[in-house]
Amino acid sequence: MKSEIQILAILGSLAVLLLVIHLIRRRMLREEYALLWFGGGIVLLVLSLWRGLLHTVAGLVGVAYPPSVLLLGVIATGFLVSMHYSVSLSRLDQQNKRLAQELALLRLQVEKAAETPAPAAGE
Amino acid sequence: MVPAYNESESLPGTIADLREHYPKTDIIVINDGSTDGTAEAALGLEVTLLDLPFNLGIGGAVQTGLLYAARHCYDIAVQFDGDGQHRADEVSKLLRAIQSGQCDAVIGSRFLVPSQYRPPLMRRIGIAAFNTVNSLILSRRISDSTSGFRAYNRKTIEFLAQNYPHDYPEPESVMILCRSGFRILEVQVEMRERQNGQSSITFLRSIYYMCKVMLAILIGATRRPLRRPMDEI
Repeated sequence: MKSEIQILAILGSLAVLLLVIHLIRRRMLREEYALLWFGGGIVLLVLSLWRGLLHTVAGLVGVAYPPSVLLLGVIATGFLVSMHYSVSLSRLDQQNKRLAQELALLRLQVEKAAETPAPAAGE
Repeated sequence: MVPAYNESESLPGTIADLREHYPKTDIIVINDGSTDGTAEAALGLEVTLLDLPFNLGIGGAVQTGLLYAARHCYDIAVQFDGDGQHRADEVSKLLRAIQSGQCDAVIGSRFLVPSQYRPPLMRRIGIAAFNTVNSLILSRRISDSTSGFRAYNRKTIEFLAQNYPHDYPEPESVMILCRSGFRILEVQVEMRERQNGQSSITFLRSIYYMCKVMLAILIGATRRPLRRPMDEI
């Protein structure tokens, strides 16, 4: 692997890690997602620092140009993460729907209760 | 149960029609986050209003009505569109079918016997596609799986309150009900041409919905049938 690409990869993974740390400090990222991105960033960093490992992995999957393993890793991670989001979104959507339905039912109950005044205390 | 999304113009007429035939029945209007004063229009009528805080789509709205019916232990729930398409004088056909005990859910079909009613071409293709798919999966004839003019008995109300499909639910719910062992019957009904308001399914969206619902039905058919509440005891 050429050193220019290695430097680029190291800088890139450091940027990812710094961004994640920044987001956690600002409380903009929940822990489960933070862990996911943090783990991804560390894997990238290790692979870009440790040439030997990158070459071993490239050899294992039969890739001629080792840096493209990094690319593959990034794409695969992005794909899995966005799929995870789709699942979470669908679940949230379901819960959101049920909340709206419960709200409508409760609103009716509250209005009904307001119409029929409760018996005064002591009666 | 009358689901209504932006139907302030046609809702009073629909309710008057229902009241004329069923003066004592509880009418539940589900306002699905309308922006045209449908809720206000409903407040002036003698109905129970379920006011959703934002638009859920027809599936979510109908399910709200089913939840209400389930919790207040209604024996029969009739689903009746707010746009004036369904006729109150046809409700008795649905009720008779349920009351006779020969089915758990009854669909008011427009196409059981050949009739005058001819929907626009696009719609006709969509309806035919759903009917074909449903008929094939369930290996029985379903003549109008897109009809939203239906009645359910207690058992079905409870089941659907928990398991009702999303935004264009009619065809999928036929499949789910049938595969879960509910007895479905179709009866021929007359419907009016739409008077006010646009169909909730506009031209371009209909293609999107068709793909989506087809996917839901086809994948749903590979799922194990949902169990009826009765069987869980």
